[in-house]
Amino acid sequence: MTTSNHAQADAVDAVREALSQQLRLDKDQIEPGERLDLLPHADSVRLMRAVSALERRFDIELDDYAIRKAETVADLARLIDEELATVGRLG
Amino acid sequence: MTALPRLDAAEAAEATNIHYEQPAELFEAFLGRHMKYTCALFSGPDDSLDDAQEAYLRVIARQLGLSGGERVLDVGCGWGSLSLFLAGQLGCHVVAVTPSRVQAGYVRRRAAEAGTGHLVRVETGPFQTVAQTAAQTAALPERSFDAVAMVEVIEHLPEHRQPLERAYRLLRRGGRLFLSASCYRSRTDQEEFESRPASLHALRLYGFTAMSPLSQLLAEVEDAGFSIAGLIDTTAHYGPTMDHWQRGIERNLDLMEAVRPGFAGELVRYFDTARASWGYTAKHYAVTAVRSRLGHTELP
Repeated sequence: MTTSNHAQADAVDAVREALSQQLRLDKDQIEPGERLDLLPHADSVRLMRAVSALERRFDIELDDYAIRKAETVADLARLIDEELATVGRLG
Repeated sequence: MTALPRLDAAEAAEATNIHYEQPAELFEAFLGRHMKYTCALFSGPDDSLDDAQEAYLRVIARQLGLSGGERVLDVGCGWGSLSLFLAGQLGCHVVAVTPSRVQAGYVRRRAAEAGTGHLVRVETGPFQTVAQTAAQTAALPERSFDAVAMVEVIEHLPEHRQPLERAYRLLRRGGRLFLSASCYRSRTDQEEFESRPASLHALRLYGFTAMSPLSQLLAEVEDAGFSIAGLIDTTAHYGPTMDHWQRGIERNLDLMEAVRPGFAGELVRYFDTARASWGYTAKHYAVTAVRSRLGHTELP
């Protein structure tokens, strides 16, 4: 079980990790500011698999609309951080 | 296509108060001990109305997965049957919502009399807008409820998307929704019958009421984000429920006429229409849904 005190850097790192596995990329190739849909090998199924892996890893369910609005690696990491903060606040 | 009026949430709530802000004694004359103004569940012809209503209350508790102490939101609580049952029998912490000031006062009084006043909080206003003051917002924080009940209330809401989305946001992850409603039997029946005189009589009697086919309600529950978890057909039980109500009205006709002349006759006319419709043009269903991507995880 993950707690809410994950720093932003941890979420960014987790997103890079998930994307590197699903897109078969070197993690170091994935920068926080990069657009998700423009990453090499990216398609909607692979990106959704990455989101799914992240939800399982952190035991969260992100808002569907917010997921579709997330454009960059950092956007997705921020969604995870916000969700973890909400879950932590609710206890 | 339809003669139904277009009302916003506040207008519809004010309209239904024509019916639901009448004195409680009018309804005590025929609804039985639980004051449950919705479908009962009969195991056989010898069941009393009170037993059959309690049977339905137990089904709601089971469908919502309640075992004791949970936080429950009762949208359209009416005269408080479900809220008082869950607080009294299961020690649930209930927030009950009704636009009727008469019902709100009644539920508070009954809860106090039952010694569960500390478990039942009543908010007065349309569900769509009820948490607009700071005190009410504190009563309805997002993701704070284990369960939301919407028992035969959606018919009185002119628009379903916003209230269902609100119910979704108020539930914790994994929290459940129980939604029961009288429905048109199909979209075809809706088109054919919603402007007929008998439907318009119901509209006048209840201030605002509009049935949907189940297919529409399921789509709306899905659109709000829920996973559908269960479906119960209770159509066969509403005729007997109304039979009991009508006998209660006949027993207490003098009292009802003294309080509100003509009301009993209007109700009986509506019950006659409704009983003719069950299974032909109308159905009665209960849908259970859950705030979870994968839905129930136990084996079916």
